[in-house]
This record gives sequence, C-alpha cells and structure tokens, in this order.
Amino acid sequence: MVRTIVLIAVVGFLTACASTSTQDGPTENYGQYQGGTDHPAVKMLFGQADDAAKAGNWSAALTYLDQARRIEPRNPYVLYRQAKTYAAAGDNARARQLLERARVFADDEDEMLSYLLYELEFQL
Amino acid sequence: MITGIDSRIREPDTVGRVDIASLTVFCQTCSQFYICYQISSPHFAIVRFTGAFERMSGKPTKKTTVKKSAAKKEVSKKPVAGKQRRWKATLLGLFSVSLVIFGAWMIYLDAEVRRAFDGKKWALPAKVYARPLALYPGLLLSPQQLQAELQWSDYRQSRAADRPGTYQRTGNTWRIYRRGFPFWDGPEPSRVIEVTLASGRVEKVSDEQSAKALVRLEPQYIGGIFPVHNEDRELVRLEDVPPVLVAALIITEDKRFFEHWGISPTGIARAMVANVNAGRMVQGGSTLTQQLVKNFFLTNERSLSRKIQEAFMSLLLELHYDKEEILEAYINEVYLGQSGRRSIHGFGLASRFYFGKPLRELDNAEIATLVGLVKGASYYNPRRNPQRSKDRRDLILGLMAESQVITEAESLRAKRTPLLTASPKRAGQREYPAFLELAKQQLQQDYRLQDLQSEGLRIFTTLDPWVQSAVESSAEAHLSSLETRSPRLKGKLETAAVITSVDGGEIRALLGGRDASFFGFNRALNAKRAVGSLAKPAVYLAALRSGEYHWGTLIDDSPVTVEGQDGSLWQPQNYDKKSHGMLPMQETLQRSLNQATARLGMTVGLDKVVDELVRLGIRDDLPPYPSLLLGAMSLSPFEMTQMYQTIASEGFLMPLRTIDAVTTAEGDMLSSYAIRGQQVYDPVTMEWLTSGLKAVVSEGTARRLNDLPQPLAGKTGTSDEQRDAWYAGFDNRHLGVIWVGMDDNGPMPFTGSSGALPIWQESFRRMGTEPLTPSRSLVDIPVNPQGQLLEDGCSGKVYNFPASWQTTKRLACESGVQSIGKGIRSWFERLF
Repeated sequence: MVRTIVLIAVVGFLTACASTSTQDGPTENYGQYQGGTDHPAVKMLFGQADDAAKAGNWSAALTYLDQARRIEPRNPYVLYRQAKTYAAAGDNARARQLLERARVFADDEDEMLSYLLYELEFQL
Repeated sequence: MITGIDSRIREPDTVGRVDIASLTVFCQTCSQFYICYQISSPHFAIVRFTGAFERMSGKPTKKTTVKKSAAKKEVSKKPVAGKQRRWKATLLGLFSVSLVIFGAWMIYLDAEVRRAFDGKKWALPAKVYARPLALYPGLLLSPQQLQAELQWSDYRQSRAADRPGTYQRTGNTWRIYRRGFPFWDGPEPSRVIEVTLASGRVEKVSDEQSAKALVRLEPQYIGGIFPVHNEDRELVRLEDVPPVLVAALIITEDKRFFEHWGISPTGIARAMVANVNAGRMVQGGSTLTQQLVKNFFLTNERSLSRKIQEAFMSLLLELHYDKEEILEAYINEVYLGQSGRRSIHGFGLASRFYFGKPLRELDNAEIATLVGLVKGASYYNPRRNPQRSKDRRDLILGLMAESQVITEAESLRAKRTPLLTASPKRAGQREYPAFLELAKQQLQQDYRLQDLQSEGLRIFTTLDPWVQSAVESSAEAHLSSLETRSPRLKGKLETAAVITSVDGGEIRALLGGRDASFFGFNRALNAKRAVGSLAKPAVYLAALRSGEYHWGTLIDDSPVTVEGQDGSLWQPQNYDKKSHGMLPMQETLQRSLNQATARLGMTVGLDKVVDELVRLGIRDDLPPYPSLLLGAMSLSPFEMTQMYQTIASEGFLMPLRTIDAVTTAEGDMLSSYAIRGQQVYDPVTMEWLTSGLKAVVSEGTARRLNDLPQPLAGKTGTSDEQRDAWYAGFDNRHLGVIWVGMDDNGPMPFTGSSGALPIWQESFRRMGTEPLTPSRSLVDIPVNPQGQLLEDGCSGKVYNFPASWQTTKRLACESGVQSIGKGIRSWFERLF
C-alpha cells in the first residue's frame, strides 16, 4: 500500500516536471532523469550523452553511455538510459533488451527506478 | 604560418633557401617573389611562390628567314627529280605519323598523370586502435600498468613533461603531457594532466586548472587493414613537415628541385660523368619528380623506354602541379622500410615507426637518418645496419651544415648523438594479428573490404593492450616451463586465449597461438578441439533448472554404461579411474567426476543438456550423443568463451565484440557498437550455477587459484587422453578462456589444471584481479549428508539456494530422515 502511494506520488511529481520541461524545445522529445549515479565520471558521460541525444546524434549518445556502463557496469540507471536512448532512436527491440537487463540489477526498493522502467516499458 | 613580412629584397644564392630575416625574397632567375611560410629553424626557411611560375622568355629566333632561304633554294633546284620529292613526301608523312603517335601517347600519359594525381592519390588502409585508457578516480590501475601504457604509446620520461609525448613521475603522481588525438567523438588537443595513484587505484585526475572526472589517453595503434600490397602510410601535409627535413631532402636528393621542370639535363650529365669515371652506377640523375613518377606510376624496370616515359611524365607532372604538391606527394609516397608484411611509406609513418614520435618532434639527427633511408631503406636501415646508417646520417648532417640548413655546431652536436631508434616490437608499432582478424571479420558485416582497405577509416576497438600483454607473456612463460618438464614436447605446444569483459562482452585480448605476432592459423577462432569438462556446467545447469536438484543433492559416482543406438557401449571413467560413491552434486562438479556427471546428464535428459548448450550460446551442431555430456564435441576457444560469457554475465547472451566505433579519416562517426544482447536466463539461476563454479575454485580442481583474491569462479577441462587442456574462469571484471594443446592433436602429460589454468592464473595476477561480488539473490540453507534441506541454524553443510527454496519444507535439526519433495529417481537411475 505504501509503495503504491509513493509510486503515485512519484508519477505525479514527474508528470509535473514533464509539463514544465516542455518550455525547453530540444528536451521535450528527449528528457532524461538526471540522477542515478554519484560517480563523477559517469555523471560527466551522462551529460555528454544528453547533449549528443539532444542534437539527434544517437550513435554518439549511445557510445557515451556505453563508456559509462564500463565504469559502472551494473548500475541499472545506466542501462535504463541506454534503453531509453535506443527507444528515442527508434530501436525498440534493443531498448527492450536493455530494459530487461536493467531489471536484473534494479533494486526492488528503488521506487524511482521502478517507475522509470515501468514508464519506458509502457512507451515501448 | 606567416609570422611577418620583411620588405627587404635580396637575391638568394639558391632558390628555396634564405636567411631567417628575409621573409620575402626575390629570385632573379625566375623574376618572382617568394614568401616564407614556415619558420622553425633559426637558419632555415621554406619558401613558396607567390604567383604563377613564369620563366624569362628567350631571344626570338629567325625561323622566317630560314624558311625563305629554303624556299629560294627549292626554286633554284627545280631540276631535281620527282624521286627526291617522293622521298621528301614519304619522310614528311612518316614525320607526321610519328608526330600523331607521339601526340596520342602524350595525351595518354597526360591523362594517366592527371587521373592518378588528382584527388585521392593513395588507398589508405583503415587504422585500428586499441581502447583509449580512460582515467577516472577509482579506476583499478597499478603504477606498472600506467608506466607500460605510456611507454607503449611512445611517451618519454622527462624532467619537466614540457612537450606533448612526455611525462614526469614524482612518487605516485604522474604529470603527463598528452598528445592531441582525433577521438571517435571529436579531436582533443594536447594537454597536461596529472594523475595520482593510491593503493592500486586512481585517486585523482586533474589538468592545470582543476580536478577532472574523466580524462582519456590517446589509444595505441594496433594495426591496419591493408590492401593486397600491404602499403601503409600516415599522410602529412607539407606545412606539418619540419622545414629542416624538406631542406635536407632537397639538398641530398635534388638540389635544383625548385629550378628544373621535372628533369634535370645537367643532373643527368653529371651522373653520367660520375658513373663513367667510376666504371659503375654510383650516382643517379633522377630528380625528385622523376623518383616520384617512378614510384607512383611505373615499375622498377630499368630500361630506356621506361626512362623516357618517366621523363615525359615528370614534365607533365610539373606542367600540371606546383612544386609544393609534388614535394608533398613525394614525402608521402617514398618507401622507407618494412615491418613484417607492412611496407612503410612516407616520412610521417617512418617517423613513428623508427623513432616513435610524430614528424614535428624529430631532432636533426633523426631527420638526417630518415633522409638517409631514401637512398636505400633496407641498406641504410638503422636497426639492421646501424653503422652504415650512422655514416649516411653524418654525411647528410655535413651537407646540411654546408648548405646552412643547420649551423656547424648543430651538425656536430647531432653527429655526436648515438643512433637511437624505438623498439619495433613496442605496442605502438607491432600488430595483433589474431585480434585484427576477428575485428576485420566483424567490420565486414557492415563495411565493404575495399572501403576498409582504402578509405583511411579509423577503427576504435575494445582491445586492452595491458590485458593482451599479460596473456601473451603468461602463456609464453608457462609453455616454456611445461616444455622444460617434458622436453619431448619442445616447440610443439600451442595455446589460444580469449579474454572478455564480463558485463559487456567486449574482447579485451585474443591470442591466436604461441607466436602472438604470427599472421596465420588463428586457434582462438578456428581450432575446433574437444572441450572436455568445460561442457559440464551445462549438465549441472539442466539439473538445477529441473527443480529437482540442488548443490547438496546426492549423485552416484559409480560406474555407468550407456548403450548407443548402434549398440556400442559408452563407459566413461573418472580421471583417477576410481569410483567415489554417493556425493553431493557440488562435489561432483568441483572434482569434475565423469561418472557422476554422465549419470546426472542421462537422468536429466540429453536433450535438456543440448538445449542448455544452445541457450548458452553454442551455435555449432551438437550431435545428441551421450559423450557430449563430458565434452566430446569439438569447439573453438571463442565458442567456449561465448558459452561462459552467458554464465558470467548472469544470463545475458551477447555477441562478443571487438569494435567500439568507426569514423571516417576526417573524424566523422560512421557507426558505434554499444552493448546488445538478450537476457536468456533468469539471473538467479545463473548465480546459482556460478556458486557451484566458485566451489571449483575454492575447493576443487582449480583450487591452485587460492592465492588470488577470492571468490572466483571457473571450470577446468581435459579431453580424452589429455589432448586438450582448458580453463574457463571469471572474476568480477573479466572472463578468460585458455586452451593448451598440440596442432597434431597428440596427447600431453598435462590436465586443464596443470596445462591451461596456470596461464589464466598468471594473466589475471598481472591484469589485476577483482573478486566476484556477493550474491544478491541466493540464500544459505544447511543440508544434511543425505542431501535433505534443514531448517536454518541446523548443523549441516551449507549450500547456496535461490530464495524461493526457503519456503520448501525442511527438516528440523533433530530429525534427518524426512524426505523432501518428490522422488527424483528416473528410469535411468532405476536402471543403474
């Protein structure tokens, strides 16, 4: 019950965030959750991947994320981002594979990640 | 770069050479101004034309007068017979025909020259690079590795690290002046970085301003994908070539290069005189343009007709292209050495090949050495014929001083420099044939071979030179030690190895044979060998997945006989030829007992085991014979790596890959290859299987690995009559599969434990081992000697179980006789 309430709250929060982000054109189609790591190098690569994705350079975005994955190979947020980027690039099959891979390392208690994975799965 | 213009006009004594102060010069011979565009030596500058080249015209001839007098003569000789006229007409006709033929030939040559010289002049092989070393805080990195990686990338230790390609070490802090490099995501300029190591990891990375999250060192060149003739070159632009080198080349090979029109009659005459005087060929009269034409368009044939063709083509070349273009082409075309199958062309590549640095970093002595190679790359090879090369170098240094390209003092200083060249075996110049073969195969799924051979693509791969080096040296050391123990095998033992990253399936090292530099049979990919006990995890996986077995289940290790469809009997035996009775399943795996495994496999079902092998990634045809349970099928080390990759990655079946990214020669990304795969197993099941493989290392046939950080997981393998020795194992970062055997498939006095495992052990020790992380989903449950589950806290051997087994009915501590679950005896067990 508590989990459901938290999940609904998170959904509501993200929905609110999504509505404000529409002011920014380029991020409208490619919004990424900005958390998921404390590693400075991975954060930097996330930023580079986001920049590349916003510019529509999916290849570069995926390669940056793959570098991040090498640093934190079992961080489900990295795999989630890869899945999300594949989805944005139109490769849903690959996105599903990585979504499933992210679930392998996902912590059941992580409500945010649960929501993100659910959202992406719904999108696919 | 124009650094300034001096309006002073002076007359240079040799075109192309001026004093430093005169940035604008005037050539009386050709009535042209020249502008210096590159100044790098205090005594030398290169000049180029400011406008079109115009020669002074000569005095007009009196052709009209001659014609008139000839006409008069014709009139006065009217009585000459018609016979003479016919002769004249014939001659005229012949002359006209010759003229037409000559004209046609010239048009043909002209077209040839322009076709080959316009646009792209060379087929540029794809350049293949290893992974760049990404430095970030927390990275596992030993000082030895950092030192080695820098040396392999041709960095030099210096006191100040004040120019690109140098580094300075102070205790645990490394100051590295990294070179600029065109990475897959764009060029990065050269920059100074500081790396601090502590406890075998990177503690801090910073540049001159602030701490950095991530910095990359440029990747090492590991080979090329060459056209059939194996020509390799690194193209340079003329403005990037040190002026001293250009000057040294011109004064040595063609002093009048800036004056002639492609051929030099005086040069030819001088060479003829010198040759006649010497009684043999001591001097060639070819200009640089002729040499270029010979190398670029023609063969090495020595004949008059070829010489004539060369001369005309040189004239045509000079007619269409300016001196700078010709010089630049020459600098990139000239043959300067050989490295195995690869021929070294051009000064750009030669500089890296011989001295391990780019052209602009060469000193005077090194420049003179390279220029000396033009006369004979093999004869004056500084590595094979050092004295000859030094004599030639010193001669050229003398000429350079004489022509004031460098000062006398600089010349003397350079002559005192010993002839130092970089090792040809260093990573930056050696190739990795086994890895390259696989990379080429994988690239050809997306690219045409001819594009790979000619478009100058840049291929960024997953190869980790540190891991490759660890495997190569460990394999060689261990094979030598085995041969010392068994002298009859000397020179016969072979090996193959594949190392991948556990989570990404990136191939970090590939060894195709004992001689890592051999371009030939690649055992890692193509040697199909009986895999022996390496196949056993598939049997145990089938048992675990059946829901009727756990690691504490008792398995009978008594003799077993299986009758084949043709009536033949299969009676596997244990390595020690003994039977061991009823044993927990984990023990039968860790001791690699054949009888128990065969019985288990037949009980679970052969088809189930085959299904597991296929699901794990084996794509070869697997004949469903019982002997398959003990690894009688023949597979390559690469295929076995694929199988163990799925286990190590907790059930993610992913293609093993060598390519990260491909860019054009200009640096535009063409494709990238991030992780892909499919979760083919529940990760809990794979963790459960891995717990059994951990026991193989901690208590079983791979326990000699106990001196490495634990836990690790793996499996030894030995084929019938010990013809093959295998080990497949993984830590938290890498999976390694090692094979040792003989090409003639002969028996060896070694097992997987003694033949292959020590190579894995030493490789992982050198690479740096990271223990496996604790299981996320398994729980410990005690099991009694009958293989029955006990309640928590009871005494009994503890085994790993998926959490779902916690709800299984278990025996109380006092009890021990209650049976659990349904009976597992199948028809096979009842039969035997």
